[in-house]
Amino acid sequence: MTIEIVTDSTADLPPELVKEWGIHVVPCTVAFDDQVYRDGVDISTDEFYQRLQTSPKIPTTAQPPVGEFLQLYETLCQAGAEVVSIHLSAKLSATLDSAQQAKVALSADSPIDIVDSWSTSMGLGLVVLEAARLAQAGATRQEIVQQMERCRERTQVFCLLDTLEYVRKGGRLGRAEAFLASALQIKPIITVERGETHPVARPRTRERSINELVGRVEALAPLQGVSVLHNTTPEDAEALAQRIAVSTGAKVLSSRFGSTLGTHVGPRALGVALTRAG
Amino acid sequence: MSETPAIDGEELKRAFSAATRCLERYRDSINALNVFPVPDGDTGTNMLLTMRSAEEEAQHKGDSSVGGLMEAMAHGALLGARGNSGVILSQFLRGMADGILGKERLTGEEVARSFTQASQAAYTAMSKPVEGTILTVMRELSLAAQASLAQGSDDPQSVWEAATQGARAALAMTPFQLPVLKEAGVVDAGGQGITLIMEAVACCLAGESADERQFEICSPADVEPVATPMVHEEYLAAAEAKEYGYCIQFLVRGDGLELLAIRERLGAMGNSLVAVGDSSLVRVHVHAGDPGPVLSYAVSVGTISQVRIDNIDEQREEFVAHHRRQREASKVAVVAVAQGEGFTRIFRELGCSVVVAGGQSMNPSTQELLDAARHSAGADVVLLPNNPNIILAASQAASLHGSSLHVIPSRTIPQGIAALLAFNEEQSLESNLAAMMETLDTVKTIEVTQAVRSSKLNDLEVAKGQHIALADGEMAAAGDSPCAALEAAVSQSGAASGAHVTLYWGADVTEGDARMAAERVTACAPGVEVELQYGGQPLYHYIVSVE
Repeated sequence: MTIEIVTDSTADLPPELVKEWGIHVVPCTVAFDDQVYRDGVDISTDEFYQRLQTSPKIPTTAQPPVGEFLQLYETLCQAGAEVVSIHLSAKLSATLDSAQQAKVALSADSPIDIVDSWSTSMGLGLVVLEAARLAQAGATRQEIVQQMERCRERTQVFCLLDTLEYVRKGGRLGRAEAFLASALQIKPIITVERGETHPVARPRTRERSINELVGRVEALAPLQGVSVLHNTTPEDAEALAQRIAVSTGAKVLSSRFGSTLGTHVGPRALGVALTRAG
Repeated sequence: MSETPAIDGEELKRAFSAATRCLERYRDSINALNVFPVPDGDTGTNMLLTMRSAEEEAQHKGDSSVGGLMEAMAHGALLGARGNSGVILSQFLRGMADGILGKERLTGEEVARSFTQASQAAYTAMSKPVEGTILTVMRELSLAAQASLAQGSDDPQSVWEAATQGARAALAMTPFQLPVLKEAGVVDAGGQGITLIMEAVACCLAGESADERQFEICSPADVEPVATPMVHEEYLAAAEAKEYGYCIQFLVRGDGLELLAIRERLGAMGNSLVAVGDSSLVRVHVHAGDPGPVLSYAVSVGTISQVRIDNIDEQREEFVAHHRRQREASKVAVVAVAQGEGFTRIFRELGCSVVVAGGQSMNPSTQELLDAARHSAGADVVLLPNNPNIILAASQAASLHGSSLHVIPSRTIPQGIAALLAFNEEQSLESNLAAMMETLDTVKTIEVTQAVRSSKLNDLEVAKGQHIALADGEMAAAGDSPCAALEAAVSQSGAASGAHVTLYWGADVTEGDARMAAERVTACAPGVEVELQYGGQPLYHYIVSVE
């Protein structure tokens, strides 16, 4: 019985990995003014950041419509597969609701398991890759779900912000909101863990912030999976990846913040998603 | 025959312009007073935008009579009114305009009459007027104006001034009329907005510049001001229980619009209805579970524009969650000692519950520190003295207060700021205390002030009146100007490339001078990042942190 792995575009999975593992990605929506795009399909990441920096109002992002999930699930189930559908935290988005509604619309006992990753961006991405690995290795749907539930407890995504402008405009950063209010220059680090955003540190300069980030990642080693993230500063991401690879010995993936997190962290942001070894 | 004193249109226009600029300066402070879980809660922003719209219309019309000016402002305000407070303000202006229709100049009597009509117009606009809000302040200011007339002063400036005093007094009492304001320790935001407008205009009418004035955001009378408004748990629970639906706002344009009929129909469809305007233009604000019928009705009587629909439930959830987090967060509170408007704002913004005024010559007493600790409502309190002279009082306070008051012995404000940046409310107390202690040595502080007498110390000769720079409390350099002393000290500090220097300028320095000083520092220490911030501190022209 084939097990198909489904996720959404907020996973920020690099296209090569999506292809390599045959992962199905349902696009979320991004709206600039009144134009609505399917993330990664109608608007590329480069275009997104261009518009983010030039548009007077910040874009809004929303979960994929139920129909998108329904169509995919239907196709996969009709082909005789089972599905494990893993998505970003319910506390950050209504995507899980959309997926759930689609499953119910199809049939309450369709062979679909919907899992909350408690994370976003490559935190979600790492959990999804683990699921894909297990599926290919012949694990059952139940085993995969159980592993996901363990994996998400050891997964988090650190984000380093270079500007507070987008956080101010967009809000919705929960527990980290007050932490990020500052007229003084800070390059803060927050993390998404256990489904929510949490404050981590408030260094004054980018250089110090990067050092702080590396230190925190190193303290969590050994790592089962790790990915650096960037949006407009690939060289910094490269350097960051090198440092982490050298000190933890892990294979470091590289990806870009997609539109959902990108809208909040703004340009020049950096991130590290990781799953601690279990 | 002496002419009755009166204001002309130009003067009034300039005064209102100044008032708008004041609203811009204080917008954030007014926004911070908001405790109501409604989408249009940014009162400062709303009133500013409404005034800007009023001003724009006044600029276009260019009528030099006061009647013409107010008519244009009222129309512009109606067009651009944002939020409840914006609409009420637009009604106030409408009432004023109606009261002085056709007048060339404004006498004292006319000022009072226009305020009376304005206040009445504001009350009529609300389906359920609430005392302890902007409405009360408007009513009281109009009564104060009438009283001033009755006492015999009839020049517009005195009447306006009297009205302003009335507004301030009423504003300070709003927490006693609306319990939630008292719990939060703030005055009504809309009331503060209108009071600020009154104050700015009064200032201009007296011939002074409102742009240079520092206006005070009103502290409630006899209510201890708390840095972070804490909304009571019962209020939050009640706020959660109510069904709100959607907040629907729009303009309707038409011919022969019947305001009363519109109010009746829409009033039946929802709550919190505000419908104001005239036969050709009506602004509507209403809360309803379904926007459909509201909008369908509106398009049946005219054309609609500026349609805005907000989900009140979402905003309310966020509001409740935000305030709940603030309550939880108060488990560990940070209290700092600082002087200067800028520093106070910085400490509060970064997470201090209470900032105690103190400094080189005005040290808070042990009792004041204890009071501050109590007000912060933290189960544990971390105290940042930010001055070597205050550390002793702080430790005394700690021994009196008991084990829940912890002192981080910061000797300068920059050290205090660095320690506060290291504070993370999600971490344990022990972890926070350790992290905050660690930061103290990472910051070098330079303070620049004027020498009160000549001295010679460590080969450094200083003449009285020269400027001296202290590095971590020790005399480091002297110069003929604050900037010179600063430059010398920075060069000496050996700030390496990659260091971050923050220059906080004080009350005795202009922003222009501060910018120049920042440039000179950048020039004398290449590779160093220089950040400029307003500290507003007395005595020290510059306080500088080198990290």
